Amino acid sequence: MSGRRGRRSLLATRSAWALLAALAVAFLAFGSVHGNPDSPKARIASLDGIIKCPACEDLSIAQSNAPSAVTLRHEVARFVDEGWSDARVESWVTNRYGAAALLVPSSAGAGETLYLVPVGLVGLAVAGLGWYLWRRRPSAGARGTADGGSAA
Amino acid sequence: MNAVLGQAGVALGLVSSAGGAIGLLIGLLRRSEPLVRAASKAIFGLVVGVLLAVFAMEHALLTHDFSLSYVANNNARQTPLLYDITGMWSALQGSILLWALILTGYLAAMYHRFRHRLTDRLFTIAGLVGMCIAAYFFALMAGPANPFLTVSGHPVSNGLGPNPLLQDNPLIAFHPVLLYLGYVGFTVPFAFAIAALVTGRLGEGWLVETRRWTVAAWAFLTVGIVLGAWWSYQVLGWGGFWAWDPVENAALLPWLCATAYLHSVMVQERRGLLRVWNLSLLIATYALTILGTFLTRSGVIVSVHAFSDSNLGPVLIAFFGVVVAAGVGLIAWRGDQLHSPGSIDSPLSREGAFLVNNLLFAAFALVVLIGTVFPLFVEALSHQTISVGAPYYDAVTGPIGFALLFFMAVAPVLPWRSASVELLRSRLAVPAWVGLAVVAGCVLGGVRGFGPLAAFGLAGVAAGSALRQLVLATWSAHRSGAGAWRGFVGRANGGMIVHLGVVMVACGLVAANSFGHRGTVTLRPGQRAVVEGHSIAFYSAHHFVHPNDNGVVASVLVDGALLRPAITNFPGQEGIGTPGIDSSFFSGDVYVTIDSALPGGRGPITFGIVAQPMIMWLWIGGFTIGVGALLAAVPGKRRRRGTEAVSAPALKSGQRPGREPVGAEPGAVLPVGSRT
Repeated sequence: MSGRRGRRSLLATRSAWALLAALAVAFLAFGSVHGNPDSPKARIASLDGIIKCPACEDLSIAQSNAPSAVTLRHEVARFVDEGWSDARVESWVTNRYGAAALLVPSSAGAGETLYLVPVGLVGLAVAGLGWYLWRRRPSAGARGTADGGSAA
Repeated sequence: MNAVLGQAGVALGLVSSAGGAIGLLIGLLRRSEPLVRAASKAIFGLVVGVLLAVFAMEHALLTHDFSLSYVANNNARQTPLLYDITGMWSALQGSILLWALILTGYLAAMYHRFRHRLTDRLFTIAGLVGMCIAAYFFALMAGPANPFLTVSGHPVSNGLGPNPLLQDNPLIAFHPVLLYLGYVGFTVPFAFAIAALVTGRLGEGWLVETRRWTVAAWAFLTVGIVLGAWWSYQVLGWGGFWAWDPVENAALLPWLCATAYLHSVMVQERRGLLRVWNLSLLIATYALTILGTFLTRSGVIVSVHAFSDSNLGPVLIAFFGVVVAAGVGLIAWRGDQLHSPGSIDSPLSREGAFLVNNLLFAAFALVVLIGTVFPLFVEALSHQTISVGAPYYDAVTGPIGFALLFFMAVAPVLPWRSASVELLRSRLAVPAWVGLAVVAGCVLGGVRGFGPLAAFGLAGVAAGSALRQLVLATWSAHRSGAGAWRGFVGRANGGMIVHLGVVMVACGLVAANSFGHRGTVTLRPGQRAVVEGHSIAFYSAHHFVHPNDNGVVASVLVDGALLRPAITNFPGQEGIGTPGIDSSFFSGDVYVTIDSALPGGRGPITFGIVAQPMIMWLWIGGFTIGVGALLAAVPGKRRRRGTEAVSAPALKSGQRPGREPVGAEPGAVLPVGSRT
């Protein structure tokens, strides 16, 4: 009897988790359908986010209401409306204001290094962690001493 | 008179700290307890010296003694009283004096706390490290950062006044002080870490003894950073709170390392593991506070926070180098004694989760560090100026933040050593349903976008996990007759309140980054418009003149709330905006600034409108974190009084502390919070 009750309980638990996962996927999928990332409005917002406000030290033109930032926002909107690509807009900005006018380095070497260095180091750290856990894994017998003590 | 008094105070502090350090060193070398006791009394000279210097500086500021160069540059006769007082930390030299004051306070508290153990070599060396650090800062004040230099010739009749940004909001009285309480507070655990390495007493005793010092420093730094964000939001007039400015990053870096340490130290206390890692984190935390000071005060970077350029760069970077070299060298020297006596049995365990959590925090810190110093390296190597800003940090730290939220949800329900999938299923069920309910509520409420929905969902699971722990702890405490309130104190339970605060901060950040929007509109008095979904009516504007400033304040009705944004001109700096803010807990803030106005406020005015949903969650979350940290420092119910934890020997190599690592040491204090 108790074995059957245990199996039933396990089945109920697994069913509840399956239901939960299905609902989560459904809600996330439904909630994720919105807007077109390639729409002019989305592209303008994205470009405004990476162009540095000429009158500020750290802010993008999307974050600043300084007159020069507002003017540049209007310029970017006009370029996108005229059909310019993102790369052409970025090139126009760096030609006019210098490489530092973009909040993410545009030159291939610097931009790639900025992303690759942390990714490489984190990759090494993950590999090191995996090696540490593998090297220090206990024998099958030692695993039997596991503490199932409560955490809560 | 103020100059003489201040110089005397600095000289007394320098002589006391340097003399104390030399005395302690000789006492240690000769194993002379009387000499160590005598040298320890130097702390009194240090306290008197710094108090004298601070008194002289405040007196000079309050009496507008413009014979002092610092006062002439950072004070004016019309400066309001509050900003007279806070003028002490408005520029480089004064902020070093504030650092020295707080450092002396921590050292005095440390000497008082360990007054019965002065001759314990571990404490003596920790005191020696503290004295050396104090000597360094007093030497800075005696040399390149002297706050008591006098002006040549006749003093000016009036000073320049503080930086306008530093006299526009009372938060100047709290934010820098709390930040420094955090920064400087890490001196104590750092000193003990160095002492443990030098003496070879590398057991868990010193960790237990310095735990509350670390928690206190972390709490101060956390609240200081949140207040800084609030200040940025209130004062800088751009409607944001975090710009990934190098100086903001400099405060975040030690916070990230310290947060990782607060988690991983539990693994060492409980299991005796991660000794090298914990020592490295502590030393990195302290070294990064010095790096932050270097970035802020050397003029090497351009930042809205870098209020002063100076020639301190070489001495600060040299001190940073000494700290790093000493730490790394000592760890390498003691390497053979730092082998952990046990191992992580299963990745699916509390310690396994903490290890991954540490890796994530380290990765976060690495990303921020690389982003901060990368432009300096590129400029040095290629003479090309580049910018690294929010798009980079958001792109790289976003996934790390997601992973941290996930582990914050899972770790509290994991037991030590190992867990089964069935156990996890059982313990995570309620938090997971809470997360689902949050996602469903958001979708039904109109929130769209995978990123924010997933983040809110994970935040819901993390909140459910923390609440589960609190409910169980409170119920357990109630049933045991200890009082339900016991379920909120101790490291584990206070830590869960901190987690709830972090969840609120995370939700605020996600909402602001995902749904914040802004626009501008130019209106004449009597006109109205709808901007970014908000109705704005411009009633009137008037010109004001105060003794210290003048400007324009406007009356605008935004979504039915009357707001008064202003634009203020200070001597030497014009156009400092003061926003008008309509705040709501759920719908967020509508933030209105005057972006441009004609002199006297006549004619049309251009208003900036920023909508920041849920931003109040950031400030309430920060306050909750502070409260949680305070509760985490309260002894838990199973804490028992130990004897001489500082004197506890290290565990022998190969000795397994098993489930009672701290208790395995004679006289150690059990972890508070009992059930971690």
